[in-house]
Amino acid sequence: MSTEATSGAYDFAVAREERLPVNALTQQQTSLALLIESALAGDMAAFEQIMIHSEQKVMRMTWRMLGNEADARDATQEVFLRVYKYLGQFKRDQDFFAWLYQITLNVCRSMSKKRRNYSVQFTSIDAGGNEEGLEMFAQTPDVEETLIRAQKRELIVRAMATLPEKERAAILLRDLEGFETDEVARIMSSTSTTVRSQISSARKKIKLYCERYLKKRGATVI
Amino acid sequence: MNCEYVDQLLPLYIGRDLEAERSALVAAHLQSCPQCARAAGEYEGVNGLLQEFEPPLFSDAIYRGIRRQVLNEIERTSQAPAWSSMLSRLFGPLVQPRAIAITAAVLLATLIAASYFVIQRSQPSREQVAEGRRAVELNANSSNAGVQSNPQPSSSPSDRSSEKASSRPGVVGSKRLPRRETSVVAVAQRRELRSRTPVARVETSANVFQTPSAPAPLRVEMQTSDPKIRIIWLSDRSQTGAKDASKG
Repeated sequence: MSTEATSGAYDFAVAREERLPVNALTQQQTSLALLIESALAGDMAAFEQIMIHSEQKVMRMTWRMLGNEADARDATQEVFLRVYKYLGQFKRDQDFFAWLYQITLNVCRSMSKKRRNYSVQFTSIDAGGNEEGLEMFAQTPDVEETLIRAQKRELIVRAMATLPEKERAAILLRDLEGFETDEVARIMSSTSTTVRSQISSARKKIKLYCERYLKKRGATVI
Repeated sequence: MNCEYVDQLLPLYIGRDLEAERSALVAAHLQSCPQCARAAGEYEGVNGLLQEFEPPLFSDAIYRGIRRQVLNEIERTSQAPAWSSMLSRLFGPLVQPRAIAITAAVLLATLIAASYFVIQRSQPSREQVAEGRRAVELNANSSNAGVQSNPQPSSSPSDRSSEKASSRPGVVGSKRLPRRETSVVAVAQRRELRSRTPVARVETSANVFQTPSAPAPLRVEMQTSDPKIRIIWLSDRSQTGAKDASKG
Protein backbone atom coordinates (compact mmCIF):
# COMPACT_ATOMS: atom_id res chain seq x y z
CA MET A 1 0.00 0.00 0.00
CA SER A 2 1.62 3.28 -1.12
CA THR A 3 1.81 6.09 1.33
CA GLU A 4 3.25 8.83 -0.85
CA ALA A 5 1.32 10.64 -3.54
CA THR A 6 2.35 10.34 -7.14
CA SER A 7 2.59 13.99 -8.02
CA GLY A 8 1.03 15.05 -11.25
CA ALA A 9 -0.58 11.72 -11.96
CA TYR A 10 -4.10 12.94 -11.23
CA ASP A 11 -5.19 16.50 -11.70
CA PHE A 12 -8.47 17.34 -10.04
CA ALA A 13 -10.67 20.34 -10.59
CA VAL A 14 -9.88 21.91 -7.26
CA ALA A 15 -9.96 25.57 -8.31
CA ARG A 16 -13.07 27.55 -7.50
CA GLU A 17 -13.88 28.25 -11.13
CA GLU A 18 -13.24 24.69 -12.25
CA ARG A 19 -15.52 22.86 -9.87
CA LEU A 20 -17.67 20.76 -12.21
CA PRO A 21 -19.81 17.65 -11.98
CA VAL A 22 -18.05 14.38 -12.38
CA ASN A 23 -19.65 13.53 -15.69
CA ALA A 24 -18.08 16.50 -17.46
CA LEU A 25 -15.90 15.33 -20.32
CA THR A 26 -12.57 16.48 -18.97
CA GLN A 27 -9.51 14.53 -18.10
CA GLN A 28 -9.71 15.58 -14.46
CA GLN A 29 -13.22 14.40 -13.89
CA THR A 30 -12.59 11.22 -15.82
CA SER A 31 -9.63 10.57 -13.57
CA LEU A 32 -11.75 11.16 -10.49
CA ALA A 33 -14.45 8.84 -11.78
CA LEU A 34 -11.87 6.17 -12.45
CA LEU A 35 -10.42 6.55 -8.98
CA ILE A 36 -13.84 6.19 -7.41
CA GLU A 37 -14.55 3.07 -9.43
CA SER A 38 -11.20 1.61 -8.49
CA ALA A 39 -11.73 2.42 -4.82
CA LEU A 40 -15.13 0.74 -4.90
CA ALA A 41 -13.48 -2.33 -6.39
CA GLY A 42 -11.16 -2.45 -3.36
CA ASP A 43 -8.13 -0.56 -4.66
CA MET A 44 -6.84 1.17 -1.53
CA ALA A 45 -4.20 3.04 -3.51
CA ALA A 46 -6.96 4.70 -5.50
CA PHE A 47 -8.77 5.66 -2.31
CA GLU A 48 -5.57 7.10 -0.94
CA GLN A 49 -5.25 9.23 -4.06
CA ILE A 50 -8.74 10.54 -3.44
CA MET A 51 -7.70 11.46 0.08
CA ILE A 52 -4.51 13.17 -1.05
CA HIS A 53 -6.30 15.47 -3.41
CA SER A 54 -9.13 16.41 -1.10
CA GLU A 55 -7.59 16.37 2.36
CA GLN A 56 -6.51 20.01 2.33
CA LYS A 57 -10.00 21.21 1.49
CA VAL A 58 -11.50 19.00 4.17
CA MET A 59 -8.93 20.04 6.75
CA ARG A 60 -9.50 23.74 6.01
CA MET A 61 -13.24 23.30 6.33
CA THR A 62 -13.05 21.36 9.59
CA TRP A 63 -10.64 23.89 11.11
CA ARG A 64 -12.93 26.77 10.11
CA MET A 65 -15.93 25.00 11.60
CA LEU A 66 -14.36 23.64 14.76
CA GLY A 67 -11.68 26.22 15.44
CA ASN A 68 -8.69 24.16 16.52
CA GLU A 69 -6.21 21.77 14.95
CA ALA A 70 -6.85 18.73 17.16
CA ASP A 71 -10.56 18.65 16.46
CA ALA A 72 -9.95 19.40 12.80
CA ARG A 73 -7.64 16.37 12.55
CA ASP A 74 -10.14 14.07 14.25
CA ALA A 75 -12.95 15.37 12.08
CA THR A 76 -10.92 14.93 8.90
CA GLN A 77 -10.21 11.30 9.77
CA GLU A 78 -13.87 10.69 10.41
CA VAL A 79 -14.81 12.37 7.14
CA PHE A 80 -12.64 10.03 5.09
CA LEU A 81 -13.83 6.99 6.98
CA ARG A 82 -17.36 7.94 6.08
CA VAL A 83 -16.33 8.65 2.49
CA TYR A 84 -14.98 5.12 2.25
CA LYS A 85 -18.04 3.67 3.91
CA TYR A 86 -20.58 5.51 1.76
CA LEU A 87 -18.63 5.75 -1.50
CA GLY A 88 -21.02 3.27 -3.04
CA GLN A 89 -23.89 5.69 -2.45
CA PHE A 90 -22.16 8.55 -4.30
CA LYS A 91 -24.08 9.43 -7.44
CA ARG A 92 -21.93 9.84 -10.50
CA ASP A 93 -23.86 12.84 -11.75
CA GLN A 94 -23.33 14.98 -8.65
CA ASP A 95 -20.40 17.13 -7.64
CA PHE A 96 -17.93 15.05 -5.67
CA PHE A 97 -16.72 17.97 -3.56
CA ALA A 98 -20.26 19.05 -2.77
CA TRP A 99 -20.91 15.53 -1.52
CA LEU A 100 -17.63 15.64 0.38
CA TYR A 101 -18.53 18.93 2.08
CA GLN A 102 -21.91 17.52 3.02
CA ILE A 103 -20.18 14.72 4.89
CA THR A 104 -17.74 17.22 6.38
CA LEU A 105 -20.50 19.42 7.75
CA ASN A 106 -22.31 16.43 9.23
CA VAL A 107 -19.14 15.32 10.99
CA CYS A 108 -18.47 18.83 12.28
CA ARG A 109 -22.05 19.08 13.54
CA SER A 110 -21.68 15.80 15.42
CA MET A 111 -18.44 16.94 17.02
CA SER A 112 -19.87 20.33 17.92
CA LYS A 113 -22.69 18.65 19.80
CA LYS A 114 -20.13 16.85 21.92
CA ARG A 115 -18.39 20.12 22.63
CA ARG A 116 -20.68 22.94 23.70
CA ASN A 117 -18.19 25.73 23.13
CA TYR A 118 -16.60 26.76 19.90
CA SER A 119 -13.04 27.30 20.97
CA VAL A 120 -10.89 29.00 18.43
CA GLN A 121 -7.14 28.94 18.75
CA PHE A 122 -5.64 31.33 16.29
CA THR A 123 -1.98 31.77 15.47
CA SER A 124 -0.79 35.21 16.35
CA ILE A 125 2.56 36.50 15.23
CA ASP A 126 3.28 38.14 18.53
CA ALA A 127 2.23 35.09 20.52
CA GLY A 128 4.97 33.24 22.26
CA GLY A 129 6.11 29.84 21.08
CA ASN A 130 4.93 30.15 17.50
CA GLU A 131 8.19 29.47 15.71
CA GLU A 132 6.65 29.10 12.31
CA GLY A 133 4.84 32.40 12.62
CA LEU A 134 7.91 34.21 13.87
CA GLU A 135 10.05 32.79 11.07
CA MET A 136 7.50 33.88 8.52
CA PHE A 137 7.40 37.30 10.12
CA ALA A 138 11.14 37.65 10.05
CA GLN A 139 11.40 36.66 6.40
CA THR A 140 8.67 39.00 5.22
CA PRO A 141 10.05 42.10 3.57
CA ASP A 142 7.00 44.17 4.45
CA VAL A 143 6.66 43.74 8.17
CA GLU A 144 3.92 46.29 8.51
CA GLU A 145 1.80 44.60 5.85
CA THR A 146 2.28 41.24 7.50
CA LEU A 147 1.32 42.63 10.86
CA ILE A 148 -1.80 44.19 9.42
CA ARG A 149 -2.77 40.89 7.83
CA ALA A 150 -2.24 39.09 11.11
CA GLN A 151 -4.47 41.55 12.90
CA LYS A 152 -7.14 41.18 10.24
CA ARG A 153 -6.95 37.44 10.57
CA GLU A 154 -7.35 37.67 14.30
CA LEU A 155 -10.35 39.92 13.86
CA ILE A 156 -12.15 37.67 11.39
CA VAL A 157 -11.42 34.57 13.44
CA ARG A 158 -13.01 36.19 16.47
CA ALA A 159 -15.96 37.40 14.41
CA MET A 160 -16.58 33.95 12.90
CA ALA A 161 -16.52 32.40 16.36
CA THR A 162 -19.59 34.44 17.29
CA LEU A 163 -21.71 33.06 14.43
CA PRO A 164 -24.15 30.17 14.86
CA GLU A 165 -23.01 26.95 13.25
CA LYS A 166 -25.40 27.05 10.30
CA GLU A 167 -24.63 30.67 9.44
CA ARG A 168 -20.91 29.95 9.65
CA ALA A 169 -21.27 26.93 7.35
CA ALA A 170 -23.38 28.89 4.86
CA ILE A 171 -20.97 31.79 4.58
CA LEU A 172 -17.93 29.50 4.37
CA LEU A 173 -19.42 27.48 1.54
CA ARG A 174 -20.61 30.57 -0.31
CA ASP A 175 -17.84 33.13 0.16
CA LEU A 176 -14.76 30.96 0.70
CA GLU A 177 -15.50 27.78 -1.21
CA GLY A 178 -17.40 29.51 -3.97
CA PHE A 179 -20.51 27.36 -4.14
CA GLU A 180 -23.65 28.88 -5.56
CA THR A 181 -26.56 29.46 -3.22
CA ASP A 182 -28.49 26.52 -4.65
CA GLU A 183 -25.48 24.25 -4.18
CA VAL A 184 -25.03 25.46 -0.63
CA ALA A 185 -28.70 24.68 0.00
CA ARG A 186 -28.22 21.13 -1.34
CA ILE A 187 -25.10 20.59 0.77
CA MET A 188 -26.82 21.83 3.89
CA SER A 189 -30.09 20.02 3.10
CA SER A 190 -31.88 23.33 3.21
CA THR A 191 -33.62 25.77 0.86
CA SER A 192 -32.14 28.64 -1.13
CA THR A 193 -34.28 31.14 0.76
CA THR A 194 -33.03 29.91 4.10
CA VAL A 195 -29.43 29.92 2.91
CA ARG A 196 -29.72 33.51 1.64
CA SER A 197 -31.16 34.55 4.95
CA GLN A 198 -28.34 32.84 6.82
CA ILE A 199 -25.67 34.39 4.60
CA SER A 200 -27.18 37.85 4.94
CA SER A 201 -27.39 37.50 8.71
CA ALA A 202 -23.81 36.24 8.92
CA ARG A 203 -22.42 39.15 6.91
CA LYS A 204 -24.33 41.66 9.03
CA LYS A 205 -23.05 40.12 12.24
CA ILE A 206 -19.47 40.10 11.03
CA LYS A 207 -19.71 43.74 10.02
CA LEU A 208 -21.27 44.72 13.32
CA TYR A 209 -18.64 42.77 15.28
CA CYS A 210 -15.80 44.39 13.38
CA GLU A 211 -17.23 47.86 13.96
CA ARG A 212 -17.51 47.31 17.70
CA TYR A 213 -14.11 45.69 17.90
CA LEU A 214 -12.40 48.50 16.06
CA LYS A 215 -14.33 51.12 17.96
CA LYS A 216 -13.01 49.76 21.22
CA ARG A 217 -9.48 50.10 19.94
CA GLY A 218 -9.98 53.49 18.41
CA ALA A 219 -9.66 52.31 14.81
CA THR A 220 -12.18 52.92 12.07
CA VAL A 221 -10.86 51.07 9.06
CA ILE A 222 -11.00 47.34 8.55
CA MET B 1 -36.39 52.36 -2.68
CA ASN B 2 -35.54 53.87 0.71
CA CYS B 3 -32.32 53.63 2.66
CA GLU B 4 -33.74 51.27 5.26
CA TYR B 5 -34.74 48.74 2.63
CA VAL B 6 -31.42 49.10 0.83
CA ASP B 7 -29.59 48.52 4.12
CA GLN B 8 -31.38 45.17 4.43
CA LEU B 9 -30.41 44.18 0.90
CA LEU B 10 -26.77 45.32 1.00
CA PRO B 11 -25.32 42.05 2.48
CA LEU B 12 -26.83 40.06 -0.37
CA TYR B 13 -26.03 42.73 -2.97
CA ILE B 14 -22.33 42.78 -2.09
CA GLY B 15 -22.10 38.99 -2.34
CA ARG B 16 -23.99 38.97 -5.66
CA ASP B 17 -26.77 36.95 -4.11
CA LEU B 18 -29.54 39.34 -5.12
CA GLU B 19 -31.64 38.78 -8.20
CA ALA B 20 -31.00 41.04 -11.19
CA GLU B 21 -33.99 43.34 -10.81
CA ARG B 22 -33.46 44.26 -7.19
CA SER B 23 -29.71 44.39 -7.70
CA ALA B 24 -30.17 47.06 -10.35
CA LEU B 25 -32.41 49.08 -8.04
CA VAL B 26 -29.87 48.93 -5.23
CA ALA B 27 -27.08 49.95 -7.58
CA ALA B 28 -29.11 52.93 -8.73
CA HIS B 29 -29.80 53.96 -5.13
CA LEU B 30 -26.14 53.75 -4.21
CA GLN B 31 -25.34 56.19 -6.97
CA SER B 32 -27.41 58.85 -5.29
CA CYS B 33 -27.04 58.06 -1.59
CA PRO B 34 -23.58 58.63 -0.04
CA GLN B 35 -24.60 57.08 3.27
CA CYS B 36 -25.71 53.81 1.67
CA ALA B 37 -22.65 53.88 -0.59
CA ARG B 38 -20.45 54.13 2.51
CA ALA B 39 -22.29 51.18 4.07
CA ALA B 40 -21.78 49.20 0.86
CA GLY B 41 -18.07 49.96 1.06
CA GLU B 42 -17.98 48.61 4.62
CA TYR B 43 -19.61 45.39 3.47
CA GLU B 44 -17.01 45.12 0.72
CA GLY B 45 -14.35 45.43 3.39
CA VAL B 46 -15.96 42.62 5.39
CA ASN B 47 -16.01 40.46 2.28
CA GLY B 48 -12.29 41.09 1.80
CA LEU B 49 -11.63 40.45 5.47
CA LEU B 50 -13.34 37.09 5.15
CA GLN B 51 -10.68 35.95 2.72
CA GLU B 52 -8.19 36.25 5.61
CA PHE B 53 -10.01 33.49 7.48
CA GLU B 54 -7.36 30.94 6.72
CA PRO B 55 -6.22 28.12 8.99
CA PRO B 56 -2.57 27.76 9.93
CA LEU B 57 -0.32 25.84 7.61
CA PHE B 58 -0.58 22.12 8.31
CA SER B 59 2.53 20.11 7.64
CA ASP B 60 2.72 17.09 5.36
CA ALA B 61 3.34 14.95 8.41
CA ILE B 62 -0.11 15.83 9.71
CA TYR B 63 -1.74 14.80 6.47
CA ARG B 64 0.33 11.60 6.30
CA GLY B 65 -0.74 10.78 9.83
CA ILE B 66 -4.39 11.30 8.95
CA ARG B 67 -4.14 9.05 5.91
CA ARG B 68 -2.35 6.37 7.90
CA GLN B 69 -4.99 6.41 10.61
CA VAL B 70 -7.78 6.16 8.09
CA LEU B 71 -6.20 3.29 6.16
CA ASN B 72 -5.39 1.41 9.37
CA GLU B 73 -8.94 1.78 10.58
CA ILE B 74 -10.31 0.56 7.25
CA GLU B 75 -8.01 -2.45 7.35
CA ARG B 76 -8.97 -3.20 10.95
CA THR B 77 -12.69 -3.09 10.29
CA SER B 78 -12.36 -5.17 7.14
CA GLN B 79 -10.56 -7.91 9.11
CA ALA B 80 -13.08 -7.93 11.93
CA PRO B 81 -15.28 -11.05 12.03
CA ALA B 82 -18.70 -10.80 10.48
CA TRP B 83 -20.46 -11.37 13.77
CA SER B 84 -18.50 -8.53 15.37
CA SER B 85 -19.57 -6.06 12.73
CA MET B 86 -23.13 -7.32 12.95
CA LEU B 87 -23.14 -6.84 16.72
CA SER B 88 -21.69 -3.36 16.42
CA ARG B 89 -24.40 -2.50 13.90
CA LEU B 90 -27.12 -3.87 16.15
CA PHE B 91 -25.91 -2.54 19.47
CA GLY B 92 -23.83 0.40 18.33
CA PRO B 93 -26.66 2.90 18.77
CA LEU B 94 -27.28 1.57 22.27
CA VAL B 95 -23.80 2.52 23.35
CA GLN B 96 -24.53 6.16 22.76
CA PRO B 97 -24.73 8.12 25.99
CA ARG B 98 -28.26 9.28 25.31
CA ALA B 99 -29.49 5.72 24.80
CA ILE B 100 -27.74 4.59 27.97
CA ALA B 101 -29.30 7.41 29.96
CA ILE B 102 -32.79 6.63 28.67
CA THR B 103 -32.38 2.93 29.40
CA ALA B 104 -31.16 3.65 32.92
CA ALA B 105 -34.10 5.97 33.56
CA VAL B 106 -36.59 3.36 32.36
CA LEU B 107 -35.02 0.66 34.56
CA LEU B 108 -35.05 2.95 37.59
CA ALA B 109 -38.70 3.85 37.05
CA THR B 110 -39.61 0.17 36.71
CA LEU B 111 -37.72 -0.67 39.90
CA ILE B 112 -39.47 2.08 41.84
CA ALA B 113 -42.90 0.97 40.60
CA ALA B 114 -42.21 -2.66 41.46
CA SER B 115 -41.00 -1.72 44.94
CA TYR B 116 -44.12 0.36 45.50
CA PHE B 117 -46.44 -2.50 44.59
CA VAL B 118 -44.54 -5.00 46.73
CA ILE B 119 -44.69 -2.72 49.75
CA GLN B 120 -48.38 -2.04 49.19
CA ARG B 121 -49.23 -5.73 49.11
CA SER B 122 -47.29 -6.50 52.28
CA GLN B 123 -49.02 -3.82 54.33
CA PRO B 124 -52.63 -4.17 55.64
CA SER B 125 -55.19 -2.45 53.55
CA ARG B 126 -56.57 0.87 54.54
CA GLU B 127 -59.98 -0.66 55.03
CA GLN B 128 -58.64 -3.05 57.61
CA VAL B 129 -56.81 -0.31 59.47
CA ALA B 130 -59.86 1.93 59.38
CA GLU B 131 -61.99 -0.95 60.61
CA GLY B 132 -59.77 -1.42 63.60
CA ARG B 133 -59.82 2.25 64.45
CA ARG B 134 -63.60 2.41 64.17
CA ALA B 135 -63.91 -0.63 66.39
CA VAL B 136 -61.74 1.00 69.01
CA GLU B 137 -63.69 4.21 68.86
CA LEU B 138 -67.14 2.58 68.97
CA ASN B 139 -66.25 0.30 71.82
CA ALA B 140 -64.80 3.17 73.74
CA ASN B 141 -68.04 5.10 73.22
CA SER B 142 -70.30 2.16 73.99
CA SER B 143 -68.55 1.08 77.15
CA ASN B 144 -71.24 2.69 79.36
CA ALA B 145 -74.03 0.81 77.59
CA GLY B 146 -72.60 -2.47 78.80
CA VAL B 147 -71.07 -5.19 76.78
CA GLN B 148 -70.95 -8.78 77.78
CA SER B 149 -69.86 -11.84 76.03
CA ASN B 150 -73.22 -13.52 76.69
CA PRO B 151 -75.28 -13.44 73.54
CA GLN B 152 -78.60 -13.81 75.42
CA PRO B 153 -79.90 -11.47 78.11
CA SER B 154 -81.53 -14.20 80.29
CA SER B 155 -79.43 -15.66 83.01
CA SER B 156 -78.36 -19.18 82.41
CA PRO B 157 -75.37 -21.28 83.23
CA SER B 158 -73.99 -20.68 79.82
CA ASP B 159 -74.46 -16.98 80.27
CA ARG B 160 -72.74 -17.00 83.60
CA SER B 161 -69.78 -18.86 82.20
CA SER B 162 -69.39 -16.48 79.30
CA GLU B 163 -69.55 -13.55 81.71
CA LYS B 164 -66.63 -15.02 83.53
CA ALA B 165 -64.83 -15.32 80.31
CA SER B 166 -65.55 -11.71 79.53
CA SER B 167 -63.96 -10.59 82.77
CA ARG B 168 -60.63 -11.85 81.71
CA PRO B 169 -58.58 -10.20 79.02
CA GLY B 170 -57.92 -12.49 76.19
CA VAL B 171 -57.29 -12.80 72.58
CA VAL B 172 -60.39 -13.29 70.52
CA GLY B 173 -60.27 -14.38 67.02
CA SER B 174 -57.15 -16.44 67.41
CA LYS B 175 -56.64 -20.05 68.33
CA ARG B 176 -56.46 -19.29 72.04
CA LEU B 177 -60.13 -19.24 72.98
CA PRO B 178 -61.91 -19.97 76.28
CA ARG B 179 -63.42 -23.42 76.31
CA ARG B 180 -66.95 -22.15 76.83
CA GLU B 181 -69.66 -23.05 74.48
CA THR B 182 -71.24 -19.64 74.62
CA SER B 183 -67.89 -17.97 74.08
CA VAL B 184 -67.17 -20.17 71.12
CA VAL B 185 -70.56 -19.40 69.68
CA ALA B 186 -70.00 -15.72 70.25
CA VAL B 187 -66.63 -15.90 68.57
CA ALA B 188 -68.11 -17.77 65.65
CA GLN B 189 -70.76 -15.18 65.35
CA ARG B 190 -68.19 -12.43 65.51
CA ARG B 191 -66.11 -14.14 62.85
CA GLU B 192 -69.08 -14.43 60.59
CA LEU B 193 -70.01 -10.86 61.14
CA ARG B 194 -66.43 -9.72 60.65
CA SER B 195 -66.36 -11.31 57.28
CA ARG B 196 -69.30 -9.18 56.28
CA THR B 197 -68.99 -5.57 57.36
CA PRO B 198 -66.96 -4.24 60.25
CA VAL B 199 -69.64 -1.77 61.31
CA ALA B 200 -72.33 -4.40 61.55
CA ARG B 201 -70.05 -6.68 63.50
CA VAL B 202 -69.36 -4.04 66.06
CA GLU B 203 -72.99 -3.09 66.43
CA THR B 204 -74.18 -6.64 66.63
CA SER B 205 -71.62 -7.57 69.17
CA ALA B 206 -72.62 -4.60 71.20
CA ASN B 207 -76.27 -5.63 71.06
CA VAL B 208 -75.47 -9.26 71.74
CA PHE B 209 -73.56 -8.57 74.86
CA GLN B 210 -75.62 -5.79 76.23
CA THR B 211 -77.68 -6.42 79.27
CA PRO B 212 -79.82 -3.76 80.81
CA SER B 213 -79.21 -4.67 84.36
CA ALA B 214 -75.49 -5.52 84.51
CA PRO B 215 -72.87 -2.80 84.68
CA ALA B 216 -71.12 -2.28 81.34
CA PRO B 217 -67.59 -3.67 81.27
CA LEU B 218 -64.79 -1.76 79.70
CA ARG B 219 -64.10 -3.18 76.25
CA VAL B 220 -61.15 -2.19 74.21
CA GLU B 221 -60.43 -3.62 70.81
CA MET B 222 -57.06 -3.25 69.18
CA GLN B 223 -56.35 -4.28 65.58
CA THR B 224 -52.82 -5.50 65.09
CA SER B 225 -50.80 -5.17 61.89
CA ASP B 226 -51.88 -8.68 61.05
CA PRO B 227 -55.46 -8.41 59.80
CA LYS B 228 -56.24 -11.82 61.27
CA ILE B 229 -55.36 -10.85 64.82
CA ARG B 230 -57.34 -8.44 66.95
CA ILE B 231 -56.85 -7.85 70.68
CA ILE B 232 -59.98 -7.33 72.72
CA TRP B 233 -59.63 -6.23 76.29
CA LEU B 234 -62.63 -6.84 78.47
CA SER B 235 -62.48 -5.50 81.96
CA ASP B 236 -65.42 -5.77 84.28
CA ARG B 237 -65.94 -2.59 86.18
CA SER B 238 -67.20 -4.46 89.23
CA GLN B 239 -65.76 -7.87 89.99
CA THR B 240 -68.39 -8.43 92.72
CA GLY B 241 -71.20 -7.68 90.28
CA ALA B 242 -69.90 -10.16 87.80
CA LYS B 243 -69.63 -12.89 90.38
CA ASP B 244 -73.19 -12.30 91.52
CA ALA B 245 -74.35 -12.44 87.91
CA SER B 246 -72.58 -15.67 87.29
CA LYS B 247 -74.09 -17.26 90.34
CA GLY B 248 -77.32 -16.14 89.61
